Amino acid sequence: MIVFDRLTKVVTIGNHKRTILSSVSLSIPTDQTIALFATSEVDRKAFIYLLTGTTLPTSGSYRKPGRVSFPIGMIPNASKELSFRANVSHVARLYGMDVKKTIAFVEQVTGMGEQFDKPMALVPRDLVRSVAQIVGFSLPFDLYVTMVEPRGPGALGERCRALFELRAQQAGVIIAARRPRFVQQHADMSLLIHDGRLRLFDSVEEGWDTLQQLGVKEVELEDAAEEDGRQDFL
Amino acid sequence: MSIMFLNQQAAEFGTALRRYGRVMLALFRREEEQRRAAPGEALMNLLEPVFLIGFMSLAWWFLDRRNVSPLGGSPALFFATGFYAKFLLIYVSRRMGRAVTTSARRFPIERRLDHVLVHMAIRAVDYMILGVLGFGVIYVFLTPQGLPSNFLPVVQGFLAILALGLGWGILNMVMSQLWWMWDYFFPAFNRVLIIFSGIFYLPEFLAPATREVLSYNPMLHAIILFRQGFYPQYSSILLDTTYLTYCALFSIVAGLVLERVTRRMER
Repeated sequence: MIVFDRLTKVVTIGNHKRTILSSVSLSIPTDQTIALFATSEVDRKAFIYLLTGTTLPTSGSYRKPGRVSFPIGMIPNASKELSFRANVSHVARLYGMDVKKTIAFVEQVTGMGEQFDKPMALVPRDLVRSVAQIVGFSLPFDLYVTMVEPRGPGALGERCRALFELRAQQAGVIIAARRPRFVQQHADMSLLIHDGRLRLFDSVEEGWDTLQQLGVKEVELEDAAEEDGRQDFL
Repeated sequence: MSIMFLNQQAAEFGTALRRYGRVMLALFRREEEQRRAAPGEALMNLLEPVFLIGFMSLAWWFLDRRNVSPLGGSPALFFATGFYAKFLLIYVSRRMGRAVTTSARRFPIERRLDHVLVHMAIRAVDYMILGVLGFGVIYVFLTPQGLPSNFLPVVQGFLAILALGLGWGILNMVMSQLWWMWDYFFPAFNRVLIIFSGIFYLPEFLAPATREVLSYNPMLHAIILFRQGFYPQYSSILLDTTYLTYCALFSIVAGLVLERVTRRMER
């Protein structure tokens, strides 16, 4: 269980302060697949950074069990001058994995061939995004926190989804959802962040219906996510 | 029961220590790979004092003062001992990269302080290499004084500047997150301080009142100490190693405290 104890998170955007969570006390199961809905992309991202330990709460505390992944869907501080091989090696070294085995696995699953040794700046962006997801799922964690639904161009997208499904069977997953289709098939529960509150629902439908009642359209969420993804997945 | 508890604590501490070592090694390796991929920027940053020493020596030659140095011997050595020490502080404390200023640019397993320490260690090694090469060139081509007659004050001065750089660098990092103007203000301020650090003059020959004010600058003491390794005859009335030590220790403690108390404010 992730246990939040009177936790408050405030983020600063330009000159404005936004309260993401306001004195939240809640327990979230970590052996389920949970869809994460939010009325704003800023809230969603701030919550994921908080959950993974990338940022600290403004006040209050929370307890996490075991190993929690980094935000899957991005390779933080990835160097565009370096190849995928060098960037993946860095991730493997950081998390104490066998570097050769991790590289061999990622290389095989992505099937990138020569592009694996090219500087990341020269590789198409959607491919980088998919590989970033595969890198995250290639490491063993007790809880995977993903910023995007698993997807990618062609066969790579299918492999991404297969890897996601495999990890979802072995560990808990919290997945940021912008549309109901994928998470309805894969998630057991849902979380909703809105107006400084965090609510846990026993099903995906309840969370999605509540989001709709708040007047948020699916297309708006997808547009925001696309816009956000352009700058932030690396 | 208590022995079991202690054993468990020791095991947890050992695991945490191994993980920390692994993260630090990964960050070192990463920095080295990035430099190999794009060496130009790192090289240009490192060579800034070399250009300044060259320019000042050229200016002295042009003014027909090629053999005039406040401490005798080669003016290039006098400038080099000042600029090298001052730019070590600037180089160590300047902007530490995206991973330090934005938490989203780091893996959760990395901490901001890890990046700061790796950054400092790598830049210290850079400057050691630059020092050996730079003073080696002065020794071979200009004056035998390029080889320190006493290495102890050189090492002491170097370590004191690193300690000052840690605190100054953390202050720089925190302020640049709190105030957007800081990134413009800090480099200018750092360079203005060159004038008050006794790099191209001897502070001992200034008016007593000016000397008194300047002696509050710890870098002035660090530079005097560093110079004493090269000029055995240089006996300064201003040097206060106790003051420098306190400033260096205060800088480390203040830097670490500042880093700790501002963690929750990070973006």
